Amino acid sequence: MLRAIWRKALADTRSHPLQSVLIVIILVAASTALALSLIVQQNASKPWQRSFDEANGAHLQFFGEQPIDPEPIQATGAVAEMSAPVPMASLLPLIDRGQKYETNVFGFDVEPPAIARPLIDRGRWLAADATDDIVLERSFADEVGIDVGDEVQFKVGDELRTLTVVGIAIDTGRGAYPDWKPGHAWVRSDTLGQLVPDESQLGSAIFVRLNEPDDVEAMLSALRSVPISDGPVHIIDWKSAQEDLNEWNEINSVFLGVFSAFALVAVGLIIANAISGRILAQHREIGILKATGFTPRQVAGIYVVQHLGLALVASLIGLGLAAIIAPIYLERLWETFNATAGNTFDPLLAIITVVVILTAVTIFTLWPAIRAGRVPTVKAITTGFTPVGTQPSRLASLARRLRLPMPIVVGVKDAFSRPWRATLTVAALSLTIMTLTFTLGIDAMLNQMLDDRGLIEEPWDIEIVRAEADDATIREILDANPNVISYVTSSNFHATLPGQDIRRDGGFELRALGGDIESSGYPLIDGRMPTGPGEAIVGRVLFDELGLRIGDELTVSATAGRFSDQPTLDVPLTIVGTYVEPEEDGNVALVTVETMTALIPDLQPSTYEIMMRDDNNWDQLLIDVQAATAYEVNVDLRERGTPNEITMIRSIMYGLCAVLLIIGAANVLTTMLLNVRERSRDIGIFKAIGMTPRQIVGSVASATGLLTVLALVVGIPLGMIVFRVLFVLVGENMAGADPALYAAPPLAGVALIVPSAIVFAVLCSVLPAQRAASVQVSDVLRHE
Amino acid sequence: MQPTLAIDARGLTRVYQTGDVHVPALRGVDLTIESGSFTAIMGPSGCGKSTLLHLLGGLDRPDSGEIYLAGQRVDQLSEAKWSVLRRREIGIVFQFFNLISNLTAADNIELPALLIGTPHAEARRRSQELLDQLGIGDKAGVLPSRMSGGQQQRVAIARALTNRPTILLADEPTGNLDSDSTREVLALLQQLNQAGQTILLVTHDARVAAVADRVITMRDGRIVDDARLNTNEPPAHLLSQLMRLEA
Repeated sequence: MLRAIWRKALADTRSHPLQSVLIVIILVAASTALALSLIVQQNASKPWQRSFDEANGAHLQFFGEQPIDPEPIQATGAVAEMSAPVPMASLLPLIDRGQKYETNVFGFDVEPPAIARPLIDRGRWLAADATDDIVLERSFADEVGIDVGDEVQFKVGDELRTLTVVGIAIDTGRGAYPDWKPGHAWVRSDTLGQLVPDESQLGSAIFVRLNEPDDVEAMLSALRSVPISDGPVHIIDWKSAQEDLNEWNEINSVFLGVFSAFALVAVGLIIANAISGRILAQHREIGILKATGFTPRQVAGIYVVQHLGLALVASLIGLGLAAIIAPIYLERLWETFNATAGNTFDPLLAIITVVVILTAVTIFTLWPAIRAGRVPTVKAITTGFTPVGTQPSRLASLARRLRLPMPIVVGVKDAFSRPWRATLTVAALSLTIMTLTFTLGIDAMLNQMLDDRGLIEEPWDIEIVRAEADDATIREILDANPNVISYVTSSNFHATLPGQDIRRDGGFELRALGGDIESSGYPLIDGRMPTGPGEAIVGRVLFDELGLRIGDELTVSATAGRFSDQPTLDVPLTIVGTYVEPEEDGNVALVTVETMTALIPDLQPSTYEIMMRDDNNWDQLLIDVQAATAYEVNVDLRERGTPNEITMIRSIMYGLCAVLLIIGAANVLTTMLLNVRERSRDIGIFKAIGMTPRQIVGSVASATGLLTVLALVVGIPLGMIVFRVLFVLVGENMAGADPALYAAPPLAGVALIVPSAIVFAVLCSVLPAQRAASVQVSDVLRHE
Repeated sequence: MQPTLAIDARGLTRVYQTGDVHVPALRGVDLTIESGSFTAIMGPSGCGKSTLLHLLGGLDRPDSGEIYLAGQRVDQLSEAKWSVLRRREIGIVFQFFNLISNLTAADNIELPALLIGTPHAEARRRSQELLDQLGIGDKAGVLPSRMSGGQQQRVAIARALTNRPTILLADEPTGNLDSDSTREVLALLQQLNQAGQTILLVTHDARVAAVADRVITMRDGRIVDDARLNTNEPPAHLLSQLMRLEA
């Protein structure tokens, strides 16, 4: 009996190759989307965690400008494992092709450290017998364009010491450069001694693994009142690094999850539609099978076996496609999150994918198959098909009252001849249209962010940190460079509100800008830019946190730095506006330089924020400035081109839109083929009474058009709602800014979806329309 | 006055191919049908009578031969032109009614009229007129599934007559009806013919063929007899005459 079931199932598949292929295509799309989603989710959710474990990462990292005493740390009792103090030169200037980059350089003996081990990505670790070796941290090296074999220099006194890059490694204790600065490098201990001959200039680093990794705060509390170094100590805990990196993971995960869920729901609807339609069209055969001796259960089994076979083939193809596509996307993801490459093939994920697809197909096949098995034998044989439309078609009546051409009336009538099928088709198409709508909106928002970089990062193209260099020299170079559009100077202070302890209570950054502030590029949300002494605009986050309003007056306490010995100044301010501040978590206030020069007459700028004409021709400015100031200045560059994060979001969106379009096309094709097949008798009648083949094609196109219009009516508003939800998430995460800043979805683009969707759907119905037009009247009308 | 020819078919052949099997349905058939005549084509199942009807109605294409409708050669027309011709000049009635299941009787009848661009109101008037004429005027808003076989066939006949066709082709119009409905439909066809409608009817039933003026007998794809019935003779005598022809 199983053979009989299998034979029938195979024969059905062969006798309707196009439909079988369509179902396979739909299931392949679903399998690919599901497998990709699972693979990327698994790899994207914790790329950093995998690398952290591989490197035996440090739960706490201590970086001191002076040597650090390890004993108090050990004495806390929370330490599971601790490295010996590692000699470190902080902010050592690395020079490459005339440009300078501040670098923390660590000195090791030959073997890599046991804790927070740098993971070699390219090249090798330091050699025992080479004092000219240097290994660079990967994101830093990639950002500045240094690779294995390149030579870099360090300024030692008045001379330059050349080292050769022998390896590029991943440092899991930090995020990617330039978000995380300075860059890290590793040399041999004796090499470090040559770069920094004066030992008193060396600091140290200690890497610690905890007994209770989640209880970092307990460890830090124990150390708060215990001095561990004579100088400032910067502490990084693994949670902050993880949160910073996973912020983008969350966005990617949300996007991936949302898109994949939509794709899978659409596929589920289409599968239900296609399978039930196929079974409904075979009622006569079912009657014959039952007359021959098949039980209802066995009849149902034929269809389940048939579709499970197709689903198995499709899921395996889908897995293969996902295995090809996933690494392309994940490679960029691993680079962005400073992680090692993971394994894209996981047998468990493959099994899950196949099981989910097979289960879904079984569920969507079982119900119509069971119904088919229950059809009375005689009725099935004599009727041959489930009758359609026992009620008058109201849509057709409406179309006739509107005096629409006959082919449109016929098409409208046939569109809902099977209401359930039409509903599933419209629902699946709506998902596709909804996805296209919010994709347009998200894309427009991302474009706005790229056009106005101040929304997601500091608004300048180049920032020069003066350090000890001469202000006039820097200004002379900037004024002479034809690619400089404008620049403002900035002097930074640390400020608190009255009553706050500046060393303990955080506070915020007070930035005094000189020059043409209007052209500084800081995006204003409300109010106006400060123009005179005492006027201030405040970052939105700080503005909301302090409960400020435009027009408020307050006095803040400002000092040169949180731990500065310089006297605190009382600075009266009037709030004149609020703006987007993506750095410092939005805790920044901007004032005019005159506000501070009133208190510090000889105030010198600490940085220069420069706007350049385009993304090219920056290098010469940087080389000129470094040469003129003998490498005294430090330079920070805006990331040129499209940020990786935006590229990744776009790749997810566009990829899954393509999947949904394929699914949508298969959906329309399947539905219209089924409709034509069921309506072949009616089509024969229409041809017999005089409808031309072109009019028949028109009726099929009209039916498709109607279903698409309904899908547009549902899908576009839903897409606008989903867009609103998504851009709040993306906007807040990318900019920490008021989502009201972002434009609504481009109405022109959304409007274009309407004709595009209709044309697309009608084109997808060309094949079924041609089949309808070629129905042989004499064949279909011979028999009932 | 010489009657004009509604149909002139010459040397029609049609071969059906199923895999490697060739089935000759028509083997060089010549046929003329005068305007205003009532002709029955009779023969056993598989003799080619329905095939001949389909060729004359443009529902299928001959493999060879010529067809003239009212003097115009039509066998080489494209499918679209045949459709246009058919909606204006030819009405077809089938054995299984072939009504559109989710359109009312009136909607079904109006279809050909709307196809040729008849204004809606006029098409509606015409459909009601036909329904009244055929004795089912109260069925205008009823779906086919709620009508008897005889009523459905009347609707089908009304649809075929909507555009006042030159010729009415009927393929086993009573094949799916009970005896009472059969009598009603045949009486209707006779009335239509008496009013001037040219009718060509295909049947395997001698009793049905007896209502026609002329009976053409087919066997194995050929016309084997062509008899004009003497309608002055009693029906029983006609029937026995037909049954001898059939034998």
